[in-house]
Amino acid sequence: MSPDVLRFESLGTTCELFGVGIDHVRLAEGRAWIEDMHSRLTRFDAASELSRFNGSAGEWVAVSPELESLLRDALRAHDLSGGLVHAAVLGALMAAGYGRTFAAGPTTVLETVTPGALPALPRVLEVTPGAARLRQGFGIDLGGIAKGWLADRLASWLGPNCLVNLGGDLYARGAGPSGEGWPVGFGGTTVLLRDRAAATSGTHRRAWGEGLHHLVDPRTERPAETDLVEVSVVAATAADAEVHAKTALLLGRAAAPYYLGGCCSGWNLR
Amino acid sequence: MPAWSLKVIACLLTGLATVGSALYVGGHLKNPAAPLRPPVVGASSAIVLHLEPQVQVNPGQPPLTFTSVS
Repeated sequence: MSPDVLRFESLGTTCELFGVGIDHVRLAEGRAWIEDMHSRLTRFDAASELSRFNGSAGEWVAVSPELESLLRDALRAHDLSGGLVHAAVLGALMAAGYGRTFAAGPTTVLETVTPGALPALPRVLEVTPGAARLRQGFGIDLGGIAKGWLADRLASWLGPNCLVNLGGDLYARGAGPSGEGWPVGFGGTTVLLRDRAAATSGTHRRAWGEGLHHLVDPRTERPAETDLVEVSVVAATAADAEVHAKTALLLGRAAAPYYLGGCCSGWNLR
Repeated sequence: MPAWSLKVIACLLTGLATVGSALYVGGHLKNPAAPLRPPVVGASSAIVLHLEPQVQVNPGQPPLTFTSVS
């Protein structure tokens, strides 16, 4: 059976929704949800919920259930990665020249900013039911975790046989079009994913100069220096896959297989 | 069996083991110029694909979509 597919641009990337036995109206509702979440979570719009939270200057503020869940997921990602996946890297991203949408081009690199290790995320971000507080002088960027979080939730809502791919972070639910799993290009081959996720992290896209790219190492507050160009992983959820791929990339080629062996069922290092 | 024959057999076995070992070692000298296996030098640019058995692979099937850097 051939799946229905809906492709669109959102989250600064290409998104794809596939469904078997899922009507096009439901896929369109899924697209609308992604676009709504993008407008609420983008850091490039001063009116978004995330931008307002980033501007809250150390005060406790009310947050929506979605932002609360994402902020909790950011804390979980920090814990899962031993501190390497750190959502409070907004200042470092701005200093490195990623101050506006990638399509709009880089902003000035701030050489005056003295980089150093970021404090652990729980010392910067606190979350309670319905409210959150961000330490003054810090900013949250959800680019590293939001796509996986969104893919997991949309796949659970769309239906029992669907695939949600948000710019390479994907969750494959159910048996796929042929009943063997969803065929996904992974590391130069095709894997058949069923109730599994995959994600890729790399330094060669969203790069704008020598050593300047969007993956910040919280140990240095600078774009990561790693001997890996790209890491793809297969994991239980898209949120986990995203965290594991980025962690492995920051760890480097020698340590990555040891880390990934404990958490992922497949990986490709390049 | 007389005791002297046992002594002769033991001496012969010991001699054979010594000579055999010396011949084997002499024929398998370490070559310090041999390449490392698996290669370590130059491995930094290698692509490493690892899939656990529970991940089903079908290289002949065209993928519907890809995981990639966004």
